Amino acid sequence: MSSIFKKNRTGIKVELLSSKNDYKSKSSGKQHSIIYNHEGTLFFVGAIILWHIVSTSRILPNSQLFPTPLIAIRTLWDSLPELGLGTWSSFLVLFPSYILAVVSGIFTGIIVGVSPFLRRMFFPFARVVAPVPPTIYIPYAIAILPTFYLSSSFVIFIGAFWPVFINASAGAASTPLRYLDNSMILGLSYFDYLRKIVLPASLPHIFNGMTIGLALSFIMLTVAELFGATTGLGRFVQYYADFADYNRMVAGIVYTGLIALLSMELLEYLKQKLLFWNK
Amino acid sequence: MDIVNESQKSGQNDNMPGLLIENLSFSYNRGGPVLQDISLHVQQGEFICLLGLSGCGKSTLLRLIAGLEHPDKGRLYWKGEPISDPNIERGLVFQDYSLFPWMTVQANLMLAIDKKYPGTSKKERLSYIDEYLDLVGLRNKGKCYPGELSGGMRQRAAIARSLALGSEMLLLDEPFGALDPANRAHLQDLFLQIWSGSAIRRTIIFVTHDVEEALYLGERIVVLGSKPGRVIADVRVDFPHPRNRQNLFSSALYRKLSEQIVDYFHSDMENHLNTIFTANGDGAFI
Repeated sequence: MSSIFKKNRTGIKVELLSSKNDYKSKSSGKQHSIIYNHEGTLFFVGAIILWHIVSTSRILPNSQLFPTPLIAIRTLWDSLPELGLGTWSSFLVLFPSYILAVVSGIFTGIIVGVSPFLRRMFFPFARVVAPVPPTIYIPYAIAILPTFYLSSSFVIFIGAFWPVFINASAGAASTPLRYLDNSMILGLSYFDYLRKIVLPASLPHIFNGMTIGLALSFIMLTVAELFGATTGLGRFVQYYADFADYNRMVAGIVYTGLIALLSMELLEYLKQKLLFWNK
Repeated sequence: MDIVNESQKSGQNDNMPGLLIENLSFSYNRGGPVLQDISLHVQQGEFICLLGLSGCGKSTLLRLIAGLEHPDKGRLYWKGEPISDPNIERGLVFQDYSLFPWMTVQANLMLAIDKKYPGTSKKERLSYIDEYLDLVGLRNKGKCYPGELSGGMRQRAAIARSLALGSEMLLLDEPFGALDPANRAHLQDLFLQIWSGSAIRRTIIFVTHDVEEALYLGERIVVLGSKPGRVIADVRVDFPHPRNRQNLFSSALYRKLSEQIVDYFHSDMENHLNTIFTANGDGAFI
């Protein structure tokens, strides 16, 4: 759970966790990562203890609604087979559409981003369509598409595509002039320029888009599953809500959070591997 | 396989037409003229230093020669052919951003080698790369990324890449400007050694704002005035190659030339200020 606090692998996190501009840390002048690591763990432990106290005390009107952390974890453990199956069916929807969105977003984003003509043509459209909250498409997608698989894949695609497209095209459009100069001096073909220069140069932007896209994909997936799925993580929570089984609901929420966190961390790891050159 | 000699096939000829610039003027989209009425003739194999103060347009002139920009007026020719676009015949090295940071040194050089020797086997191309890296003393750094190298090593790799392109003319835009003095001197010597060591000499246009560097490297110094950029002096530096730094810097000729060049800058600045004052209707200056 505290993996993101253990190592400061990402530039942003390092900055967030131990900014050199912090007024107080300037005087101490010590390494912050370890201190912050402890502080992060401390907060987690504190939050769980607080959860325990609140759920066992009589402050709350109906303690049925708030299982203690121990019960939640035990239920989570007991439900693992069911949750595992749910994860599998959720991922079968999530990943193909997310990957399709990423690939097509990068491809079209770069093509549009490098061309002033295409930028003038598509950016106004993107500016209008991209901010539409993708969840709003869900009922319509379920209505017009024949299967739940297709409709949820479609809305996940929409959710992930725009952030990737917009970031890839912004990255391609802002390819530093010096890279263009060097490519021309080296006589690279336009295709090689796009593939070997613009694509890697836009990767920092693209990864930002992929991170937003992945977070949105999880939102789209779970919301879509609340609407019309027969299996999956969102369905798990929705299903036990109908039986007022709050233990399982909380377990499902915690589990979904963990899975989302794990996926984001995996993406972060990939980003660190590929963007080693970007300081 | 002697790559240094191999890159130029024709025999050396001092009378071969090299770079010819005729009445060139240039300005960016907005703003006044950057370069005005520049005419210059550079013979093949000549080592020219373009010397000017910051912002005088010397880098712009280099970009025009490379074909990265197009003149408003005037013409540029390389070996009798008009310059319209960048061509691998004219390599360009920038101050500190020639290499692509996501590629190893080897992959960076491979971009040039792919262009120079298309259709050769991978093994052959790798051996070419090793030779060019050897030339600049970076043989064991092929697998490194630019971010892992010092500024001096990066510039050496950049020079190796432009040599690997097989360009007959090398354009260098303050290539050692960001280096510390010791590294800079070392790279100047290395560069001179590579240039004068080739059987057939490449044409070099070396942009710098450092009088000392220009005098040490160049056979000829073209001094550019500021606002707008124009040629204010063309100085021949008659020290034979290979040069000895100590002897050169302590010679009377060196002192004479450097004073002369500083004078050019000084009177150019004075003229410039005078025109400003005159234009404001205020003739009195100093």
